[in-house]
Amino acid sequence: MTCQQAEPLLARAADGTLDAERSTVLDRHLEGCADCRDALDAQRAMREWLAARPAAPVPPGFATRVMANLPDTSRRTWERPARREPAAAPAGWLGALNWRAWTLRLAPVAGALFVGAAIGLGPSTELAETGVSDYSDVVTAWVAEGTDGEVQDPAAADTLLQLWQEAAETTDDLLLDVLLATDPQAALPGTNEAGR
Amino acid sequence: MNARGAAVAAEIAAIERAGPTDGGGDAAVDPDRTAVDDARAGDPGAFETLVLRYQARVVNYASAMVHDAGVAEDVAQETFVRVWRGLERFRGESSFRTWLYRIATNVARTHLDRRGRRARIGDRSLDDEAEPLQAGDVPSTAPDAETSLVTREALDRALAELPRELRVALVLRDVEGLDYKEIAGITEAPMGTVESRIFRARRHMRTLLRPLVPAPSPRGQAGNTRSMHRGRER
Repeated sequence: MTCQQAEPLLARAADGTLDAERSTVLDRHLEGCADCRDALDAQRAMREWLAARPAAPVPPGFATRVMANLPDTSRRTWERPARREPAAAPAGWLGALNWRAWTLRLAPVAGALFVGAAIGLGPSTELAETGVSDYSDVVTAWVAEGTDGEVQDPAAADTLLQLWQEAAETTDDLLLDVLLATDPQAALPGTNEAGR
Repeated sequence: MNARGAAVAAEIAAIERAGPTDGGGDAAVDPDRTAVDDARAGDPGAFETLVLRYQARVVNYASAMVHDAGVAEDVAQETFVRVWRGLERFRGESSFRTWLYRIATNVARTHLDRRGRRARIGDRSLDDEAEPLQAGDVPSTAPDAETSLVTREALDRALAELPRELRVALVLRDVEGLDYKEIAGITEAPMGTVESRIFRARRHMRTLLRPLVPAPSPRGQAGNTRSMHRGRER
């Protein structure tokens, strides 16, 4: 073995990662080569110094800045999961617990209650004209609808629609939020046959 | 440290206790596999877990490569952004860690090339830029806590003197503690080339630091390779 051939083995030997076969060959060379023995000692010394080099600290907030600088995730489409279809609701009384359907049905009620709270509870002239004495009557009539989506009290529905239209003039943002909180594709009557 | 940070720290400790797996580059037992799969599916939380797990390594590696704290942070940031963008192409043929270091190496190389061009444009060579190390730059004994900053600065200045590919191999081996197989994978160089580069890099460093680091004490078994303990491999 020449000194040039020994060099890569010296790096390994300094680490203690030289396999037994090559270690035997290298030891034989080192017995007769003072230069390579010195070189091995130098390799060991530098390895120890670099291994003891203190790690550079991670700057505070580094990970937060990385996450803030990531490109828009909406462009990552290669493995985007397919849109989940609405699950079929179980038949029978469990079907009545379909939260999506109830979310839509109760959204106008929630809107009416909010409007009522905003303008003050109690009968109004508009309500008196339609024969409905209180918002609670509207709510009661609306909730009393059947699970097939047919409203049981058409007059109450008309009243609620009227309230909705009036409220929409002053509370567009609120009603928009209520509407956006629902999933019309999943819950509109007639669009989700599986939910019936 | 918040609960998420504590959980990640415990996870990192568990992975490091487990040690390298077949050279640290075996994709079949990649401990990052689950987080990588979730991140590839577009889960930013999974990617953040990977960032927290590897930020210390990447920042430290960049620091040793570019010898400038501010630039090192930029290199580390760009590395993670490129990883995020490149997850689409990552097929798990190497471990995530190997792939991450390969990207960090490429980013650091690009930066060094750019800096080299600027230095040439300014009619200054990289050699001119480096100041010779003086006797007070490095303590005469192994570093302790009080001298750690001085030691790192001096070592990084010496590393900056190395040719680029020697520096990459040496930092990956002796600073980051990666094994030869993984370094070969990161640098896409044959194993013999990696061994040779590490030998030459250490020899070069020894020359640079010769006035500062005392010569090793004579050993009774000097040169006997069997007297060495196992290398530090993470």
